Amino acid sequence: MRRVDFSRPGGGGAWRQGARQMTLPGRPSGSIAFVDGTLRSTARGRGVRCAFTSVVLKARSAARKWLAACERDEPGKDGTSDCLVLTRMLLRELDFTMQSFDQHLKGPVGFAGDKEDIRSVPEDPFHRVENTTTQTKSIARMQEQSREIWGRSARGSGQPSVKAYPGSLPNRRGVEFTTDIKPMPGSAPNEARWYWEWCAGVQLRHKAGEDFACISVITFTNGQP
Amino acid sequence: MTVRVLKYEPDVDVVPQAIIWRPLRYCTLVIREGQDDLDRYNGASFAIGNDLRFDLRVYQGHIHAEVTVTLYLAEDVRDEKNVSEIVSRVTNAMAIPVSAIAWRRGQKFQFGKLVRSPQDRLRESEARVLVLKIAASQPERSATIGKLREEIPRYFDLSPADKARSPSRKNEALWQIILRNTISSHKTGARTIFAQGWARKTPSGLKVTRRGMDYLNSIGFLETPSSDLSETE
Repeated sequence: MRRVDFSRPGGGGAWRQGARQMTLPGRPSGSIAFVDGTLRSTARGRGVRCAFTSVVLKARSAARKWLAACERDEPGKDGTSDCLVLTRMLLRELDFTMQSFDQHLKGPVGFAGDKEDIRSVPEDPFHRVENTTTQTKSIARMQEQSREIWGRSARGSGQPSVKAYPGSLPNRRGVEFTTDIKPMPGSAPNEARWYWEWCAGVQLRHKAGEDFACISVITFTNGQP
Repeated sequence: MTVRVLKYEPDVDVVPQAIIWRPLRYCTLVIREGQDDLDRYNGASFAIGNDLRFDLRVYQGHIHAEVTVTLYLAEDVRDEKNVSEIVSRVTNAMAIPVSAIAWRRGQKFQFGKLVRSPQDRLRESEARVLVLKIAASQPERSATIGKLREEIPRYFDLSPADKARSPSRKNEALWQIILRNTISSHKTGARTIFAQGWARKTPSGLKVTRRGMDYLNSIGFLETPSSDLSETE
């Protein structure tokens, strides 16, 4: 099993690529892992609230440092590109966990020791169709390169969101993608939305003085070359 | 509760809160084209009283786009109970039967999957308003029975139950019997379109009256000032 040590640039975790798990030593201890596409976080130690916060903070700090170090080097040089993708996924989840920690405490993790927080990850594809403003050919190229999809606020709204149709790209020009970020709330059977702050894992980006919601994609097909 | 058609699009973000298994043209003829970050759409904006604004839209990529319309509310309407009450208020005010709601906020769903209620089929109460809508969209606000038969499938997605053969008239489907009963002059009762003064019989079908047009305006289907019609109509 290949082992990539988070502690190389600093921090105290270990990432085992085969198991897709980061274990955190010390007290309180715990682990953050992807198991069959699901993020599981386990906290152990005195007082689960405290332990969980510590585990998440430790994991985030370790993952950030490791990621920064890897990105400074040539990605993929050590065969670490898969690991980079997974680490980005992990960071997104951890960022969200901290953002909504109050809410998280109300969930099962906050009250019972050694319990796991399991969130399922959607596997079905989504698509966006080409338009002349927010889904142009050049934007599709940027999405393909960055593996990210951005969405701005709708008119009159201060809440940026990414919008897409569920399902595979039909007979239209556009892009198709999968993501591990759940498109809730505000979604419907015929429309998926990822709002920054309201959806787990959605990140905020700034460009030219404007805020964008951003989701990372796992797979991406550019159907508007 | 009168539904008013609004000329302008909402100046806030709107969120899908219900999907109705009826085409947009069934709900309104005041349709405009628009575009946002998701895609191009056909839609209309409405208000009920001073407190409720909503949009009906069909995006090009929506599933079952030909036969469904999606109800959007402002993004600050988030409480599920409140949303559910608003959806009921809207469908009631627009004379849309409850069975036509294929999904509403609070119901579990799977992306890309939408199931029509098995109870949803053309019933006489709905057919009364439907024939009125179709006739009102024709020249002179008149329609023959033949024209109504031709147009109904464009306004209403006939279900297998609607298309089933009538047990009494083997050469006709159930929806055709419903249509026949709806505009039958033999039919009596306070709720027929003729008794309510919404339409009058013509030798080959019906003609919508000024009162009928007022009714269609009040449910958001039209936006025709009554003053455009003469008193006698």
